[in-house]
Amino acid sequence: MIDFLTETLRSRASTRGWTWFRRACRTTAPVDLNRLLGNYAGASFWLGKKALALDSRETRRWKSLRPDLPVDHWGLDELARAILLLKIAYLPPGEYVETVLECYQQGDSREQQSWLRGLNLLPGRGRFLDAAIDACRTNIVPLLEAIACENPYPAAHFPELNFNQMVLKSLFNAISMERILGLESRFNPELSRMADDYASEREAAGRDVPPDIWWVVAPRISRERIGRIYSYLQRGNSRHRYWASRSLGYVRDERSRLELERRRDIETDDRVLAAIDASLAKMVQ
Amino acid sequence: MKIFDPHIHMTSRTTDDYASMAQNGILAIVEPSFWLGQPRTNVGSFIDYFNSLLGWERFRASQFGIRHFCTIGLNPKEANNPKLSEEVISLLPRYLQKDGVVAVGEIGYDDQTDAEERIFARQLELAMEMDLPVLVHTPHRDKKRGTIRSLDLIRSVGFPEERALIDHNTEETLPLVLDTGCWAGHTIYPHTKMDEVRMVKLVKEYGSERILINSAADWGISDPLKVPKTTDLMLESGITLQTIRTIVWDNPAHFFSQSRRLDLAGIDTRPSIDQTEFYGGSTVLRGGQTPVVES
Repeated sequence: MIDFLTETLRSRASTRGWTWFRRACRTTAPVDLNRLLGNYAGASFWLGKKALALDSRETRRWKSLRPDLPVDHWGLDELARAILLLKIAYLPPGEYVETVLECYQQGDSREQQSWLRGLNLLPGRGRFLDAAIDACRTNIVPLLEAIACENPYPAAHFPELNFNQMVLKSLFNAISMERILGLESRFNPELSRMADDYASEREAAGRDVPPDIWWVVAPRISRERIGRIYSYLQRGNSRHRYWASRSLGYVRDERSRLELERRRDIETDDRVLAAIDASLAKMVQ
Repeated sequence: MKIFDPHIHMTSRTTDDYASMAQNGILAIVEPSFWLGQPRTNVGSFIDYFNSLLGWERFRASQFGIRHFCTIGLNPKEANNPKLSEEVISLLPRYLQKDGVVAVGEIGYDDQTDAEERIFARQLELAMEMDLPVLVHTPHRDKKRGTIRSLDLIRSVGFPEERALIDHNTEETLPLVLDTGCWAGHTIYPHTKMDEVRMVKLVKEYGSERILINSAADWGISDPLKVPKTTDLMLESGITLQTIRTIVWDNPAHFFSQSRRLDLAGIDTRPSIDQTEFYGGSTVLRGGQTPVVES
């Protein structure tokens, strides 16, 4: 894997950038922490932040190695940082964890974003759970996105409470739920309740709710709360109708089927109609 | 109208803010300790921050005729860092006994983790030991449940409810707080939490007893004049002067006077400004500026 990643970097780096990177790699054995931190920071300056954008051959190859981990959106600098952390994996476990954490704690926002993405490549990545959870407490949206979006780590490693908090925080920040990898595998009744409470709080304040919130609410909803989703089937904004329709596919009861069918009779928006049909089909299965 | 803003993070604000706050009737403020917008990496960073709340910031406020008090505590977000939280908790007794510290705060829940609960409970106990009120932050996410859990914890440790101010309330949490003996704060923000119009509605429905409003202005999008702006709207909306006065002056003054470090008679008038003063060799003035000196 490291060979593929290094080749991906080499084929995209400038001569200047590649020369720098080879020199940076030489300082990983033995590790000089101060120089490592310097190189970890310097990657953006020397290599730039251009997205990898793998071609079709590379994409096939990468998918055979790590089907769970999208890297297309990673910058060159982020890839270089991940490789640097892989190169020091020979360190004794305690020292390794400590050194990798230093790179996170001493990093600026971009370095921390890279770290949160690169985390998925590291050996024994469950050991970095606390830092990944802590990253969700940030007020810096790009940092939250680095862990919450296009990143398989939370679904694979976060305990339920922390996973739920991350999803709620993403809703707060208008982050699309579709960007959270593995979200469906982590649906749970508590998350459904928290998201529905959030919708209720927004309604009490006279504010709009994120349209895709129902996707999180519906799958494990308790019966007495479901009326709120039906009401969004009737909203003027078609995005609300779309997500309410799509989400009701998870609720396989007679009442929900009737509500969807009733809406289908008067719905005019093609996208919403498609969502209604998909949900009804899901109910029959 | 005399105004007391019981929750504002002045270290993030400018001297222009102080000047316009004074101009709009703000006579006294409480600055709760909180986080920096990003995590601190060592305990020394807390020491310097607490010292600046008690020192330079209080002096800066005084240079604009505003009385500055603060609350000291470990905020819920940073309660999740086990090493740091232990170190900060052990610092607290030293700071809680200083002049001008009128409560333990902001404490409470953020993600509602076990670590947060443990640190919250310990700080409630510390407040009882130090005979201080508490300022309780309620979480942004899962707010209603977080508020219920905060009220439950206060009850279960036996903390006197009349000495707890539960902050950042909404339409859904205010009645829960008023059902207890706790006080209820409302943060008037440009986009989130609560706005002026909604606040007017709440006051019309619930009155003024144990109700406070604040700006919680900080380094994020916020407005240090939200309390006077809400006061104006309450007046325009036909809420009586007495009700407004209770909310923006009497309630915060009475609540924090429970610390016995805030003298009700003493804060009633604007302190006179003397900008020729220095704090540790520093002044708010820059070269060529004429100091304001009131007799």
